[in-house]
Amino acid sequence: MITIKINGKEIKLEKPVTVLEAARSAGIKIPTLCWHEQLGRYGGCRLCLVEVEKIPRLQTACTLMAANGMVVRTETEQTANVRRGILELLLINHPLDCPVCDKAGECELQDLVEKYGAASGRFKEVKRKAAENFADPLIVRNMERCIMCTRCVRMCEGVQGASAIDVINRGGHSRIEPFSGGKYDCEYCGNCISVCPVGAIMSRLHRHSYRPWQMTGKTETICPYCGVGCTLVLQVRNDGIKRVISKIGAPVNNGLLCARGRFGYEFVSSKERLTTPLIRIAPKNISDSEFRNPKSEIFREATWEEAISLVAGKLKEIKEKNGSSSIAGIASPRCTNEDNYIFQKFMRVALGTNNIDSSARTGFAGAQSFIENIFGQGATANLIPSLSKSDLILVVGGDPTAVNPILGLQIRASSRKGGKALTIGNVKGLKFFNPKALNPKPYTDAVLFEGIVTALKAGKKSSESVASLEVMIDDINTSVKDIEDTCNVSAKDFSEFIDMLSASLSPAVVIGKETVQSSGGSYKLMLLSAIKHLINAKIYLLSERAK
Amino acid sequence: MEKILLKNIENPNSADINEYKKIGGYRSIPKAFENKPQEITEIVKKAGLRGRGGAGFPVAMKWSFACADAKFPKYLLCNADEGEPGTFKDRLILEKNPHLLIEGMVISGYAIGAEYGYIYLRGEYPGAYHILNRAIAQAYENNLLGDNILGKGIKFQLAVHRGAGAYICGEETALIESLEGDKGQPRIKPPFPVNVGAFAKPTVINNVETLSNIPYIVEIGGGAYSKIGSPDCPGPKLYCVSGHVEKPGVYELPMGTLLRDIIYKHCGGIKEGKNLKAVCPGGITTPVLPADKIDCPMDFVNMPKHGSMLGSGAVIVMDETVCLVKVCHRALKFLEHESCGKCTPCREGTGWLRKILERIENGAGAEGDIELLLSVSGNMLGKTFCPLGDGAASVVQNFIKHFRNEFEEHIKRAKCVMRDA
Repeated sequence: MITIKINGKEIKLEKPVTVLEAARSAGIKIPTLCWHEQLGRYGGCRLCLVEVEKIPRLQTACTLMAANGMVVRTETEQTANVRRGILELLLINHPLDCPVCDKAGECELQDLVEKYGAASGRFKEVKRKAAENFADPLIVRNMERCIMCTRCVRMCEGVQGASAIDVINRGGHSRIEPFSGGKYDCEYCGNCISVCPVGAIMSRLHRHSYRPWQMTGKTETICPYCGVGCTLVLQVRNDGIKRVISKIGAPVNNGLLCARGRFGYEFVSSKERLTTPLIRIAPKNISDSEFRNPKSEIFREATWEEAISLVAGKLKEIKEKNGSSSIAGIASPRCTNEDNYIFQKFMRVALGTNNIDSSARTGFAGAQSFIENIFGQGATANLIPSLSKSDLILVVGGDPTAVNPILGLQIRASSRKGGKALTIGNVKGLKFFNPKALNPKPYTDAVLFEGIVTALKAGKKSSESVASLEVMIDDINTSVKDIEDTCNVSAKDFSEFIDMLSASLSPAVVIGKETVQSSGGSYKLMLLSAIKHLINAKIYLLSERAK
Repeated sequence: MEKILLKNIENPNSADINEYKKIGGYRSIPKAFENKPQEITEIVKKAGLRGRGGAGFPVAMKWSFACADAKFPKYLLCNADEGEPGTFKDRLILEKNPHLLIEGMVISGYAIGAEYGYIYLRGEYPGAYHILNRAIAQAYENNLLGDNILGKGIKFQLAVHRGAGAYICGEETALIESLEGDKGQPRIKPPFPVNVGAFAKPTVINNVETLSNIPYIVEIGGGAYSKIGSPDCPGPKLYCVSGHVEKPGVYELPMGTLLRDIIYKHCGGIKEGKNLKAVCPGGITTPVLPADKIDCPMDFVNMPKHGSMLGSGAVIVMDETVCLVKVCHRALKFLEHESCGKCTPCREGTGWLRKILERIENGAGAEGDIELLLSVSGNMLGKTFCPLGDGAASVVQNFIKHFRNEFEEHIKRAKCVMRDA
């Protein structure tokens, strides 16, 4: 237990943290710019300098680890002078274009200057100039406003793992630049936008269309795109979504978003979206060209009442004439769970039919129930954030950073901590993370899986017995020679792969749809389940659709 | 005094291993290997050797911190990124006496248990790069480097890494970042390099001159060495004198030689019989001393008492014709250019100070500019991430402290007063 005193308040700490974190835990606010809760210690902006007894120099609270008996003062005349001085230095190059800056109103620098800054500046020379960069369709960069906190760089490299941007040049000439030149060559997660404290990196989608204080509503919701289930916060003005922001502390994504979640909201207010029911008026035997002609009248607008009674009447007619079983319903995995539940209830109770299907059945749901049948628990029982704690992750049949980006980040996080990434097939999103990759020839991956099962059977680690699975893999016997011949994978690579798999203490297996939905998918899934069983791994399924 | 670090440099082939052996070189390695590694550290501790890079940190203490850390492997880095304006002492060792450094590194590596060493060489020293590489190759041929040095089963591998021309990479953590292939920017301390240094392993970083003292210490013993020069920080010291003296150059003198003696006795006084105006005793960022304050012993202990620092021992002598506003401006121009940009006060402050000085020097200074200089540099002093920004602020503060009237004259007469004189 560490006890420190900040501004006369005694704070007890369970584990070693920085003075800044200790102060925050006690509700004491220390001004910061380069510090961010999702990023590591940096100590660049120098705003959080505080007085510490027995240390002659002022110390940055964000880098100083709290030590037992430390006495810290954050609000003194000296610290106030320091903050005024640092803010004055930041403002010598930061333009005072707040009236035309979208960030104004939620700008951290603006707030700090308002609270701690001097009323006027003493800098007489010309400020740094840099043109706004519109080379990119989604992101606009204004390097005049950049205060070099490098949060975006640390987010891009240290959390997102895209390493797309960095600080170019040095000293006063420093600026943030994508490695690829003016335009970003990245995944467009936009997490750099969410950490930028000023208006230096911003989204182009809602540029100059709102002021932060003009937002009329804020709705927390779950992203509809993939199966990860990230929390989104929609900010609304005049009944239209202005932007999507993330929420720090939210389960699953904790303040991170991917390109789809952050930028893919414009469909909601698309003019092409149907807002009223349409009833078809054109005859059935209309020709194809006539159907596609925008001038021909196919539908007419109707009221909900009219539309619903028409559908109800038709369904009733069919049911009476041909029986309930002549009706079938198909639901979309993009609908919410609640909608899908009501839909099946309606089909079963109101219409009396069991003919219900979903396109999820051919992919995720089938694999899910297969795994559930074997192990008695589904893949979704494994929490996504815990993936980052695995020391080895085997990725098969899909790129997690593309299909389920936030899940993909957990694999990168594991890799950053020293975990190993093993891939079978092309997993582009992990290329910076030094994966051990096996690339079998097309259509031979089942042989490779058989080979892995054969090799692992010898040194099975799991004490649990899954009889149904063991029976199935009992007579699988694929030699390394077979793999070399069939899959075109070298024996050396293969044996390294097996060594890594069997040496891991907390492995995980991530399975994508390219395996699940390919021909022989269920057999491959069985083999992968066997691998999971033999190395005692956690299993994750990638799912493109939300539900 | 007998030359220790600059021994044999008049010999044009002094960088050759045979010439070095002829004058008794490489005898300290077998002698060192007779001792246990801890005993070498003890000898160095007894010698009282302090780091020659500028901070004057006790060498044996640094070594023992690294030894106390259980992580392996350990690394020994030689800081040859001699970047402080006015400093050119290491260059002489690197180019004329590379084997002395190699011998020192082998012994130091043995003392701290490091099997790998790097010489981080300043990018602007291409000559030294080739000479060092040749010397290292010769040392490998003579089994003085390698996996089994002199058949004693001791391993030490050495390589040269060239910097890309950044002053900040002389700061030890920035040096490590640069060595690892990252942008040269200082790291957060603690952890210190002795615990988490190069490649996250315990790392000792010593200056060229520091490591070059080791063979001699092993040869004559810690006790004898500690009797050379100042009692608190003994040993020979290289002073590199530049500017308006009759005989500028590198002088090997006992630590604690009077600054006045260095200028007037050893360097033949001020050029063309002019008067001395100011001296920067340890490189441009050490506090400037006016002509009447040069009776100070040049060592790590006494210089702070006389209002300056020993720094790297780079004595920059300025005579009465020098415009000190211009010197100050030139220093800030350099520091602005070399600021890495990580922390706010240094990144923004150096540029601002330079701009104010520029307008004073150009006759466009305004009333209150001196107060502004003091205020801005005061806002930087003690608030920066590493000593670069502190150095920039202290240059301005000390030039104004001692030569305020020259700044005032510039503003009052709206022109450079020295240019006309």
